[in-house]
Amino acid sequence: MTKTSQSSEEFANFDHREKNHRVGAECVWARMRAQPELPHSERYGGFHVVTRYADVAELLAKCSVYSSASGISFPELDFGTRMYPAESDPPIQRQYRELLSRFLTRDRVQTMESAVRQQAVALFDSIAGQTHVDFAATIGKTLPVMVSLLLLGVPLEDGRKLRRWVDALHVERGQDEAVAAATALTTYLEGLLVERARTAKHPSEDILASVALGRIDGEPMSLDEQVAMIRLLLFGGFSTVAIVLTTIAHWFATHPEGMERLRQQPELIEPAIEEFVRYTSPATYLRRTVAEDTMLGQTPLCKGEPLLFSTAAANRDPAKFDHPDEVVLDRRNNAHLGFGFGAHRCLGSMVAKLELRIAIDEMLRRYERYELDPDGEIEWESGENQGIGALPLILHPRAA
Amino acid sequence: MPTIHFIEFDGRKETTEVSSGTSVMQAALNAGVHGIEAACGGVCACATCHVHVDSAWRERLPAPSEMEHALLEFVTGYDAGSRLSCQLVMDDSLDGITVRLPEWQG
Repeated sequence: MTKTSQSSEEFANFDHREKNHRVGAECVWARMRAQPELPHSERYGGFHVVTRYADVAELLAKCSVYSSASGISFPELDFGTRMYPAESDPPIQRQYRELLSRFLTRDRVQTMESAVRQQAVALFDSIAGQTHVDFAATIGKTLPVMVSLLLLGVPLEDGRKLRRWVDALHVERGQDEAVAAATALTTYLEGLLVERARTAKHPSEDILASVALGRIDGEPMSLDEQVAMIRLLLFGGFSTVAIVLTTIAHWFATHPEGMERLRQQPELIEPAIEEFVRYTSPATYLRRTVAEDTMLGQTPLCKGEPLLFSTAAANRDPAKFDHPDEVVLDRRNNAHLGFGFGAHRCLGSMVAKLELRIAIDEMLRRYERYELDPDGEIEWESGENQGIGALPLILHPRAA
Repeated sequence: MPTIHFIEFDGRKETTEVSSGTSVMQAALNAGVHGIEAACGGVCACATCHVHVDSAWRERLPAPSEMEHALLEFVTGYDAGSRLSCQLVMDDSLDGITVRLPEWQG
């Protein structure tokens, strides 16, 4: 038996969508990275998996060889319309991206700071006095929804229903509940965009105006395309940040000395946030499609075949990071791929980092330490974004 | 300490002195120069610290790494002087360098 056939067999049943896949995934990734050739699974019609840092970085850098234009979820999450700009390639991808990126600049995001802090303070106030909470449900999943709504200029009271729909789309794919949620979300976003197209005077006014009035190659976008762009913003901003924030709370509960160190050395909060994003990498698996026959490392790839790549696996590659499976608060030169790399790098990374910084401030200010609740059970998200989805904690407030 | 001259897109000029070892990106952020995003914090992952280096200084800079080259491929307004400022580390040999900020960090 050759080495190649061994590797084919070992990962033939690899399924990144199985329940609780993320639990212990770092052991699977280590075996995958060690294979000379890209591992291959026979699931979903067959696909290679890209897990080494160098291979994932090369794939992300070469947009014309590894295309996003046929979709980035695998198996495909089909809304009937591509989600731009993520599901397109440069150069046209740059036009879609610029409709959003001008609202996500450093200066713009800084102007959101007091509003984000106000939301965070209100959320933490809402659990003041409680000693047993699910951190994910109360804080982790709620804060990013509120911030996404601030960003879009949408009424904050819409947060609850929006979160329910997006949760259903992520987790219950293909089931009745997901179909109903997709329809409800689409109708809601259509309403927002049609209204904004009627009232906005110029696309520079805000994100909804930019998308509603924006033009690609001089032509307006269809309403379906507009909805898909805003839907992607929501997908990007909700569960990804929720999972990182919840993972930070989990790490605090299991590393009280690390929590105390951040309190004593607040200058470490900024590098620590990058490190938590590396360690968590919630957008665990995404897809590219091979656009021309090529080689990635030692593996020949044919035009048209799907590739599943894992920034999470790349971010645990010991060839790139010392102690990759540990959180190193003061890690230097942390060139992680948790926000992606290059043309498609996360548009909302500034917003994500703002939310995480403010939430960490509040955690450190209010709580002496966190403790895992022995009577509760940690749950894991197994959809498009993977990580801790329920975190029962015992809270130990700081003395007043 | 070496000096950097920044020219913002609207023509505004900012001159700043920095310690050797400081990146041009960090110098721009410290000096409050407009037009640098630096979304990834300076690890060559995002291409939002794009600058145009004045022709007199281009040859004195080390060539871009493979990663920087890949990122520069899709920046808006690419030209022969395009570099990512996080990868330009100041020392005395670069004293007086002039860089121009693009209209947009695409």
